[in-house]
Amino acid sequence: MGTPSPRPNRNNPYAALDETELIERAARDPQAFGELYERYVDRIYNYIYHRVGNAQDAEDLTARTFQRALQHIGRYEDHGAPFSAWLYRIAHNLVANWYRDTSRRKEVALDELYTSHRRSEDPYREVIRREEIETVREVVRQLSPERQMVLILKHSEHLSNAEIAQVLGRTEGAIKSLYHRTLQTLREELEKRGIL
Amino acid sequence: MQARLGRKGSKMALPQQMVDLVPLLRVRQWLNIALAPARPSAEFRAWLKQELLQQAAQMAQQAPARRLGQLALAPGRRELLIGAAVGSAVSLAGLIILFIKWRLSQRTVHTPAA
Repeated sequence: MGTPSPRPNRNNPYAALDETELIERAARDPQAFGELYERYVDRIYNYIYHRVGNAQDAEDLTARTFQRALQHIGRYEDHGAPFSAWLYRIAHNLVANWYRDTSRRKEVALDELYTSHRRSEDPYREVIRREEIETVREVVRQLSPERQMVLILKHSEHLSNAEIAQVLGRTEGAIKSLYHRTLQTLREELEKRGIL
Repeated sequence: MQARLGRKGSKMALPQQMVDLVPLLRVRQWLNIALAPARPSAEFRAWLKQELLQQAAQMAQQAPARRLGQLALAPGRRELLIGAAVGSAVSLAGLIILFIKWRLSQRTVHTPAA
C-alpha cells in the first residue's frame, strides 16, 4: 500500500509503531508526530517539488504542509483513506493557493538537480535533451492538478493504480482511465511540440 | 520507432494496436525522466523536524489550559455552564429553604404551651 511500514529501530521505539497508533499519539506526543514526519516528508516534498518546479518554494510549502498537519492532527478522522491522502490534500491546497496568490506559474523553472539525468558526452545533444525534458515538465504542469498528482504518484513515487485510487478517493478503474486519457493528452501535446 | 518501421513495410509489420502503443510507451519513458524523484536536502529535513518538534512540545504543554479555556469559552458550552451553575444554585437554595422550614416546624412542635 502507499503506507510506509513501521521501521524497526532499537533507538527509536516510535519507529516500530503502526500508523494508527502514531496518529492517536501525535496530538499530545511530539515524538510520535516526528515519526510521522520522517515517514512522509520525502513524498510530500517530491509532490510539491514537481508541482512548483523549484527547491526553495518546495521547501517552504513542505514546511507549511507539516505545520498545518501538526495544528490539525487532533481533529484528524480516519475514514479509511491512508494518512498520506490527508497530507497530500493539505499540500495540494497550499500549492493551489501558491498559484492563486501569485502569477509565479510563468517564472517556474525546474532546478538543475535532475536535469543532469543521463548526461550525454555531446554538449549540443545535452542542451537539446535538457530543453526536451523542460518541455515535458511544462506540458505536465499545464494539466489539471488531479492529473498531475496521478502522474507524480505513478512515475515519481511508483504507486500502483490501487494505491493512487486510495490517495485520491477514487476507484482503481477511474484512475486507470484517467491515467490513460492523460497519456493520450500528453502524446498529442508532445507530438505538436516535436518531442515524440 | 519500431512502429514506424512496421508502417513503412518492413518484413514484420506490427499490428495496429502495437503501432498505437509505441508513442504511449515513449510518453511514459519521458515521464520517468521528467518526474524523477526529488528529495529534500538533509539540512532542510533536519531543520524542519526540529522546528516541528518544538512546536509540538509547545502545543502539548498548552493543551490542558487550552482545553479548559475552550470548555469555558465555546459559545454552546458557555451557556451550558451558566445554566448548570444557575440550576445548582437554585437547587441549593431550595434545600436550604426546606431545611430552615423543617427547623422552624421542629421549634413550633417543641415549644411548651404557656
